[in-house]
Amino acid sequence: MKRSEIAVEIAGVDKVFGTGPGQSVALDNISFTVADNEFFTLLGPSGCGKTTLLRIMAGFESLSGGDVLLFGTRLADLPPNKRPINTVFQNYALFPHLSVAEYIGCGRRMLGQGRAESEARVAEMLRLVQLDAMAGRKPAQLSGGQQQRVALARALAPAPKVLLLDEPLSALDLKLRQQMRIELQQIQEETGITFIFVTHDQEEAVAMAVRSAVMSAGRRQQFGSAEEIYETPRNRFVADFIGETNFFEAAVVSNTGAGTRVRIAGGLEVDAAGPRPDGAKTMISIRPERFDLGVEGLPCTVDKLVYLGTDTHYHVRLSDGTPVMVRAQNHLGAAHAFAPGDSAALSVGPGAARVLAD
Amino acid sequence: MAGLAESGGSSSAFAPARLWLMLPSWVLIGFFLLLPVLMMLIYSFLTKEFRGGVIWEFSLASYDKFFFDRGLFGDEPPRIEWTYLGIFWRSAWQAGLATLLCLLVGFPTAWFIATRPARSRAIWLFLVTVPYWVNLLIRTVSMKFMIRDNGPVNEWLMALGVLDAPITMINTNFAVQLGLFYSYLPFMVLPIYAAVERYNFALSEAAADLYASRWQTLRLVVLPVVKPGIVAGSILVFVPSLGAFLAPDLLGGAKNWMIGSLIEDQFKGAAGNWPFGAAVAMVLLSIVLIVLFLYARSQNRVSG
Amino acid sequence: MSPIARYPGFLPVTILCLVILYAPLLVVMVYSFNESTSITRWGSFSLVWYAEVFSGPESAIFKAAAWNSLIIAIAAATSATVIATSAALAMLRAGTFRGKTASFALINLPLMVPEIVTAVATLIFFSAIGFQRGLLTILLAHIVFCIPFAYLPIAARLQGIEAHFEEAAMDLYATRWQALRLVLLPLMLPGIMAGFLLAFIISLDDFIITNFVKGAGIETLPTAIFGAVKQGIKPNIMAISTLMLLVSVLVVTASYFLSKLGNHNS
Repeated sequence: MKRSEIAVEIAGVDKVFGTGPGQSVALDNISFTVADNEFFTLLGPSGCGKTTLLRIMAGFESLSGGDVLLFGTRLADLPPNKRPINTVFQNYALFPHLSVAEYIGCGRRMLGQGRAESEARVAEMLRLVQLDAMAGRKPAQLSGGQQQRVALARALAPAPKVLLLDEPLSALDLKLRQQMRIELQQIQEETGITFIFVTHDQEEAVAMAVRSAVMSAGRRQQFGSAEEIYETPRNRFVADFIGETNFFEAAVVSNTGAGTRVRIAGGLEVDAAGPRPDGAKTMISIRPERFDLGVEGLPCTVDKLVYLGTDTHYHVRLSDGTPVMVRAQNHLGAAHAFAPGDSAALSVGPGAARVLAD
Repeated sequence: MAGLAESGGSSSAFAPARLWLMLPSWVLIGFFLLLPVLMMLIYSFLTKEFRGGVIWEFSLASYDKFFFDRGLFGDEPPRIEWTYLGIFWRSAWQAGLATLLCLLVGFPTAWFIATRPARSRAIWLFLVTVPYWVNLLIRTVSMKFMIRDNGPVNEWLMALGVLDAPITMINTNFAVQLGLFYSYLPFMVLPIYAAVERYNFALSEAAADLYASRWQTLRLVVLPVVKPGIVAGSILVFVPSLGAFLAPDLLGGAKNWMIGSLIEDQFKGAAGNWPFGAAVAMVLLSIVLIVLFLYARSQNRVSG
Repeated sequence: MSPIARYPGFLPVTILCLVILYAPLLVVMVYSFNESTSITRWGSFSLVWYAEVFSGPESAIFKAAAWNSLIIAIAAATSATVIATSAALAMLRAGTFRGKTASFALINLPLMVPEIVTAVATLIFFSAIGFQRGLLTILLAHIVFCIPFAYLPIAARLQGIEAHFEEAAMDLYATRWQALRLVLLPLMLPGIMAGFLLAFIISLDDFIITNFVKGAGIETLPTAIFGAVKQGIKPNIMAISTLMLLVSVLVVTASYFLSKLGNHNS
């Protein structure tokens, strides 16, 4: 990637709150880059430091170490009101005393633009978020979804180089959230502004982003495309946090040439991709949908099944008692192949097992 | 603040006894405050008797004396009497300046306290409230002691070389404003503090995000949002300042009368004109009730 | 707290605010220990003015005034607290009723009417009905304007107590009055104590209304001090002021900790 294409570079960022014995490390040597025009997500459970990182980019928190670069320029010395970055706040932060149009025009006016010019921009933004009819309303007269759109419009209006979105959809109900995801992607494509989207919802991150950074406990866990993160999780945290998976303690059978062959509970032997394990034991992950539940393979017993529409989750138990989760797609007209208490057999396709680094 | 205690409490366990429970307050306040105020209204339309007291004869003389120079019923056309309106005007002016002074000091103080960590916040708040509970008379006397000609303030200023000779502060308008400011400052701090404590600081961040500087944020976002607290504080300072007696009496001297001094003079002082005193008190009460009414209406508009 | 919330210059203003509030009180306290008869020159540390307060030529007046103040404050605060507690129960635990809003306005009326107007109205009233002015007139006036001050902390406390407490008591076959006595009143106690102390201070502090409704020859501490100050500020006034100041601060501190105690419980 050429240097000029990098919109934001997070370079070894540390953040420590407090001093002395009461201090807590919120961010520990975080590094990644966000390309220009990219839809990027920062994903992690609550308390992982993702919002702190966002607030550092916006200028609301100071750095304890490292650097944040915007198109190659250090941001640390700029106060928030001097950064060409805008934020969509989690609870929208609408000014209760300003109308929708006044609020959206606020940034432009602060930047010293004329009334006519800023009014034209407001109209454009209202169209973009489909709130033309609401221009004169106060925040208290808007629904949650409308408030969310106003918060988005007001952050886009000044045409920032980067837009930060702090869990902007978390207050909306499921249907609205799904609709807003699509709209956000469209708006990002239309405006060409770099979006950095913070969320704790792995499904949302996978659905929206070109690339993501997964964070936990103040550390970067993995950085890459959604597919990379799902299919080749680097460690147990990532594998567990993104989607569902089965973990197995595995004994290394062979560790040469093409890959690693391991044996898991019940004596099943599989080829596992990923980093080469150092010792004789390792941890592997196999996603539930990578298993086939049939009549040939490792014998097991079906404990329970959960019908979920598009697919069915089977909770099965190997002969030694190890529980395994299996997900099978439902086909039209086909009844469930197994019922609780049935005996069945598990098999695993090639490339399904993944060795985890830690 | 007061509205807080009006609603809520879902139980009606004592509903059958509510008349008996309310009765003492109704009787006491009704009999010893509401009725006296009505009596005062009647008195303001009676004829004065020499050295206090009244003659039970209807008369407009008190209001006539208050508003008109030669008398509404004289031979010559009436002219506006400026003596008493002037005292009201000066009182409003003094109370207004004191309110402004309280706002200028009270807002930063309230903001500063509300942005402290929770533990130290309680201590700061306590420090600001304690002086209010010290006897108003003692506080006013203390202020008189401080700013008299050879008092500590003049001595300190001379010791610091700011002044060559003591300046006269006592018995000036400034002294009255200072006294009112000192008397009612906590009234300004507390409601503003309550409003700032509820203030969502993400709004300030949103303003900075929209390229507003700190002071632009204060002017365009903070002040409009915490305005209810500012208005409540201003009323809590302005209303008692308007009817104040101790500050103008002890610090302002004979030349700097306010409404309170004028009323007191009718009952306790040399004037001894009860109906006129009652009329002045009625005018003061009307002004205060109008201010409170306008305030209540604006509050209803905000919440409704 | 985000640095956005920090405004340079607000700390100095806060310090200034506290200096203005405390400097006059501290100066008077310091000068009350001044040995010199001249209030302008500092002599040396001495308790002579405190001795003067208790045994000087004016001590009889001040002692009588202090007694009057104390008796009135205790009686007024006690009555106002009982009335306010009963009103709070009616306002918060008796559902909605006709005239509730008016009752609420009535309880707060003494806060809305300027003190000097209350003073004038009360004087006119007692004079019109031919009521002999004395301790009793002062007491009645004090009870009335102490009610809202007692009501505020009591109602705030009662509002914080959830209804299921007395409902649970009545569910266990307690009568309404047993529920009040055994459950509600003990829970309300911190608020009631805070209300009593505030009413006590308010009564002790009052000058304007007392000055109007007191009979000839009857003084409370504030009216006695006012009378003395009219002759000039003498050091013994500063000693009395310091003593009253300490009483106020002690009572308010007690009330503050009582209300904090209450908050922790609920």
